[in-house]
Amino acid sequence: MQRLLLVLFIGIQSLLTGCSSKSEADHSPVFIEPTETVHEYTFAVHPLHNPVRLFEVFNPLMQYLNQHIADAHFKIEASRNYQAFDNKLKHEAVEFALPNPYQTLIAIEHNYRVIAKMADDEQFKGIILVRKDSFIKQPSDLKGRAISYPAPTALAATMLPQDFLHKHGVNIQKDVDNRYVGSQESSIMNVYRGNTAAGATWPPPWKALSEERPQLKNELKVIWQTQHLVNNSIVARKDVPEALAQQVRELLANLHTTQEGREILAKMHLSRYELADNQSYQTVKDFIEQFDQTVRPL
Amino acid sequence: MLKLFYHNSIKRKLIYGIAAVHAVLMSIFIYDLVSRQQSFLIAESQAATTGIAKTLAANSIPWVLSNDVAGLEEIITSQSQQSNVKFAMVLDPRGKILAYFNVDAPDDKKSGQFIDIERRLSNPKELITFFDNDQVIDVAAPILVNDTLIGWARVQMSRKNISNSIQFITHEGLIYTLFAILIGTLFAWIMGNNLTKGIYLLINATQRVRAGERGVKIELNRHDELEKLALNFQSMLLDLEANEKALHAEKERAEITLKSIGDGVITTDNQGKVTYLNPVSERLTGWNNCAAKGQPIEEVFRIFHERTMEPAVNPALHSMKTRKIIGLANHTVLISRNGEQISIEDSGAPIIDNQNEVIGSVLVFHDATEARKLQDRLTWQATHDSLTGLKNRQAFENRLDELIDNAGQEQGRQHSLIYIDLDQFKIVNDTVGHSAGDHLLKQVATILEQQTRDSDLLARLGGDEFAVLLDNCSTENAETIAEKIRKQVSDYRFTWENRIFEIGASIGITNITGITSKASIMSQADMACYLAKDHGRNRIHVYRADDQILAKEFSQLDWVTKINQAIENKRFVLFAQKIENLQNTRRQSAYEILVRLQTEDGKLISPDQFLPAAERFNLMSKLDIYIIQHAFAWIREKHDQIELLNINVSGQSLDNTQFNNSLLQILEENEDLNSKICFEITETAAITHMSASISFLHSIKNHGCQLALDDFGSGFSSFSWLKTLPVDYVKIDGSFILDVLSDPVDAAMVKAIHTISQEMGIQSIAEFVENQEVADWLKEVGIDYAQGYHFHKPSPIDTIFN
Repeated sequence: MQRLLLVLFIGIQSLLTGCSSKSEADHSPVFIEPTETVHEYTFAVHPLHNPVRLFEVFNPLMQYLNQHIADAHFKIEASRNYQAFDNKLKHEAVEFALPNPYQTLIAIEHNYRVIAKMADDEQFKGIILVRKDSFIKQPSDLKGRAISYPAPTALAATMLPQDFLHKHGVNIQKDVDNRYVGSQESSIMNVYRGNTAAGATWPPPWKALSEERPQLKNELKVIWQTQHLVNNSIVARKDVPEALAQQVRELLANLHTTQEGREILAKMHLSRYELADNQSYQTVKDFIEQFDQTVRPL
Repeated sequence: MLKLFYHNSIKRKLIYGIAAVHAVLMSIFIYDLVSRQQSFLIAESQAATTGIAKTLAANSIPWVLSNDVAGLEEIITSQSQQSNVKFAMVLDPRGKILAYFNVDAPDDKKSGQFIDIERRLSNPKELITFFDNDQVIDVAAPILVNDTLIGWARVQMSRKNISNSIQFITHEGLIYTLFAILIGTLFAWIMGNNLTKGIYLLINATQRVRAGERGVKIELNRHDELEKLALNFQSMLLDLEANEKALHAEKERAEITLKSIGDGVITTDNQGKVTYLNPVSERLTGWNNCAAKGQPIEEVFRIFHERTMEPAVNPALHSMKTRKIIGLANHTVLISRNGEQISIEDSGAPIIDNQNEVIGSVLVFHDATEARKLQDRLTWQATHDSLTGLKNRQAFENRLDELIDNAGQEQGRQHSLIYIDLDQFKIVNDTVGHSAGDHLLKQVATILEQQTRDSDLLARLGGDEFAVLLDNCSTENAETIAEKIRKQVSDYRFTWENRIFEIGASIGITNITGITSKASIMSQADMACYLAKDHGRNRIHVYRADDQILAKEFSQLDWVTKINQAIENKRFVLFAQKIENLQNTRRQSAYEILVRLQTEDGKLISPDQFLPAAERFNLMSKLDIYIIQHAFAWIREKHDQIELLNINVSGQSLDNTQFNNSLLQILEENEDLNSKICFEITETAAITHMSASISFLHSIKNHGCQLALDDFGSGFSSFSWLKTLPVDYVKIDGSFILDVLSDPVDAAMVKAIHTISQEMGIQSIAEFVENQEVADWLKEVGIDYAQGYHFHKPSPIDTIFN
C-alpha cells in the first residue's frame, strides 16, 4: 500500500513539475563585431528644441544629406542642455554641429570652422513674453520679478533679452530673479503658468509652440523684441575631410533651390542656408565682449 | 499480491477506490491549476517585460537622440531595479549598444559592442523576442520617433520566479492532494466500517450456521439493503431450521421404521460401501452397524446359492448396475460373520436421485428358513398324500399327462396304469375306527412301495384307492407287478386291538396310449378295477375295449345318469325320521330329512348305494339343493306342525360357491321358516372344509337357521371344534349309541360329549336308538334328543302326518 501511494505521489509531482526541471540554458546577450562600411557622422544641433522636436525638425535634413552624399551617414544628435552641447563642442565630440552664434565662438576656439549659416539673420533676435493679463508695461516693471530664460549662454533667447533689459535700465544682476529653466519651451511654459513674470525666448520656438498650443497665443503676448545678430552657424570639425565639408556646405546653400529642400527648411521656419566662414561671426564676438563687460560676466 | 490484497475486502476496495478517485481528481485539479497559473504568470511576465521594454524605449528617446550615454545608463539602471530583470540595454538601430546594465554584473560595460539585431528584423518597428521560455523572457522594443526607428530597448527578465511559484503551487497542491486522499480515505474507512460491520455480522452469522449453530439471530439495527439481506437470510435460516427439523424427524422416522421392520435392510453408497444396517440385518449378518459402515457390501452380505454354494450375484450391486429393482431371489443362503448359514430371500433397489444419478442402493432381505421349510412342506404336500407319504392324486395326474404325451411322441413305447382299490377297508374303518383305517392305509402303502420300481409312480388317489404308473412297461409286465401287489396285500394280516383283519386288493390295469385322454384312461382303469371287484374281489382285471359295455350295467358310471335323471324327474323321495325330546315330552315335532331314490319301476334305493357315486362325480351339491328345496316346500306346508327340521349338507357342498349362493337365496326367500331349520354337517366334512365351513355356517346362522354337528365322535373327535364351530346341536355318532349299554368306553364317550356340550350350551342328540333301555339310559344321562328305530322308522314325508 505505501509503495502504491509513493508511486502515485511521485507520478503526480513529476506530471506537475516535469516542465520546470530543465537545466539552466544560457540566455546572455550575444555580442558581434560591427559590419559597418559607411562612416557615421554625428550632426549635433544645439538645444533650440527638445530632443524629439529637434529630431522632427532636423532628421529630414540628415536624410537629405545621406541621400546626396555617399560613403557617409549623417545622424542628428540632440543634447540634454546647452551645457551638454557646449561640452560636445569643447570636447570635439561630434563631426558636425549647428551651434548658436555664441556657441559658434566656442566651436571656433575648439577646432571647428564655420562652413555655412542659417540665413534670415533678422529672425535671430530675442523676444520677451508676458501674460496678456500681466501688469507689466515697461521693462522697469520687471524689477523684483522673476524672469525665465532657456540658459545663460542662449544668445538670442537669453543674452539679447538681458542686453535689451539692461539697456532699458534693468540691472540684470540685481533687479530681477533670473531663472534659467533649460529650454525655450520651458521658458515659455514658466511665464504661461505664472511662475515668472516674463519669459525670454526667440521667435522660432515661440512660433512653433504657439501653433501647437493656441491657448499660449491667447494668454501670452510678445511685449518687447530685441536687436538681431547673426543666425546659427554650421560648423565642421577640422578633421572632417574638406571634400565632405564642401559637399555639405553646397547642399545646405542650395537647399532652398529644391522642393524637398524647401520642405525641410519650412520645418525650420527658415528661408535658406547660406555660405559663411569664421569671419561671419565677428559681430557676435563683439557683442559678447560688450555683454560680458556691461550686462553680466560670462 | 496487490490484487489479492485488494480483492479480499469490500472495505479495502472502497478505501482504495475513493483514495484513487481523490488522487486522480485532485491531480487533475492541481495540474489544471498549475497549468493555468503557469500560463498566467508567463503571460503576465511577458506583458511585464514588454511593458518595461516599451517604457524604456519611450523614456530613452531624448537620451538616444542626445546620444547621452550617461542619461541612458541612469534610465537603464533604474529600470533594472524592477524585480526579475536580468539585464537591460539600449541599442542604436544597427545594434550598437548605447547603454547596458546587467543586474548580476553591474560593472560589466558593454557599450560600443554590437548585438546581432538586424538579422532578426522582419518589420523594423515591431517587438523582437529573443527568448520566451520558462526560464527567461527577452524582448526588444523599438525606439520610434515619428515612426522613425532610432534604436532598441531590450530587456530580459528571469522567469525563475515563475518556476518557483509553480513549484510552490505544485507542492501545495500535492499537500492538498495528500490531504484530500487522507480525508477521503478516512471517510471511506468510516463508510467501509459502517457498511462492512453489517456484512461482517452476516459473515459471522453464516460461519456460525456453517459450524452447525442454529437459532442464530441477526440484528443489524439499520434501514437499508443490508437489513433486507439480513431479514432474508434470517428467513432462510428459519426455513433451513424448519427443514432440518423436518428432515431430522423424517430421518428418525425412517430409521425407527427401518429398525422396527422385520426385514433386514442394508443401504450402500454408489460405490457399494455399506452406509447403514438395521438391527435385523445386524443380527442376520453378524456385523454391527458401526463396523460394517464403509465396508464393501460383498464383505458384509456374503450370499451363495443354497445348492451349488457358488457365490450369488449381490442384488445391491446388480440393481445399481442395471438401474432396476432386483426382485426377491430364492435359493440363496447368507453366510454370517460367525459362519452361520441362513436361508434368505433378498431384493435390491437402486436409489436414484432427481438428477437421475444412482447415489446408492437398498438391500432388503429376510430370514427365509421357516418359509423355505414351509414352502418345501407345501410343495411336498401339493404332490404327496399326507397320510401315507405317497404321491397324491395331483402328482399322479401330472405324471399321467407326461406319460400320455410321451406315448404319443415315442411310438412303440408302452406305459401302464395299475389301479388298486382295497377290499374290506370299510369294515376295518367301521369296526375299529378311522385311526385303524389310517394305520392300515399306511401299511398298505409300505407294501405297495416295496413292489414298485423307483421309476414308477405310486400314488394314493383318495380313500382306499391307490394307483401305480409304470413307465416303459407293457400290460403283461404290469399284470405281473399287479399280481405281486395283489398277493402281498392278500397275504397281509392287519392286526388292531387283538383283532385280525384280512384285506384284499381289487386291481384294474390299463394301457396308456398317446391317443387316449386322461379322463378316458382313468375311466378305463376305474372300470377295470370295478370289474375286478365285481367279479369277486381280490383279483386283477386288465381293461379291454368291450369292458365298457359290460360294465355299464353295473358300474358307478351309470349312477351319474341315474342321479341326474332322478333329480330331473324328481324321483328322489324325501323321508323323515322323528327326533324325540328326551327331557321334555311335550315337544314332539322335530324331524330329520332323509332321502331315497325311487327307480323308474318304483323300487326304492338306499343312500349308501347312490351317495358314493354322487360324491365321486360331484353331484352332491346338486342333490343337496334338491333335498333342501323339497324340505322347505314340505315345512311351508306343515309349518304349524313342525318345530324343527334337520337337513343334511354334504362336505362337498360346503366348498361349492354355486351351492352357497343357491342356499342363501332359498334362505332369503323363506325368512319366516329359517328358525325352524337345522342344517347337519358331519364332523369330518366340517373339519376337512374348515375354512369354507366357518364362513358358510356363520352366514346361515345369520339367517336364523340352526346347526348340528353330525357323526360327532367318529372322526377327529376334538372338542375344540365345538368351540370353533357355531353349532347348536351335537349328534353323537350312532356307533357309540349302539353299544352304550354294553361298552363302558362308548358310555363314557357319550357322557363326556354330553357334559362338554352342555357346558358349551350345545344340545346333544343320540342316533341309532333301537330300544327302550338305551333310551332310558340316554334320558338319565341327560341327552336332550334321540332318534332311531325305537322311536320312529323313517317314512316318506307325505305319510308323516297321516
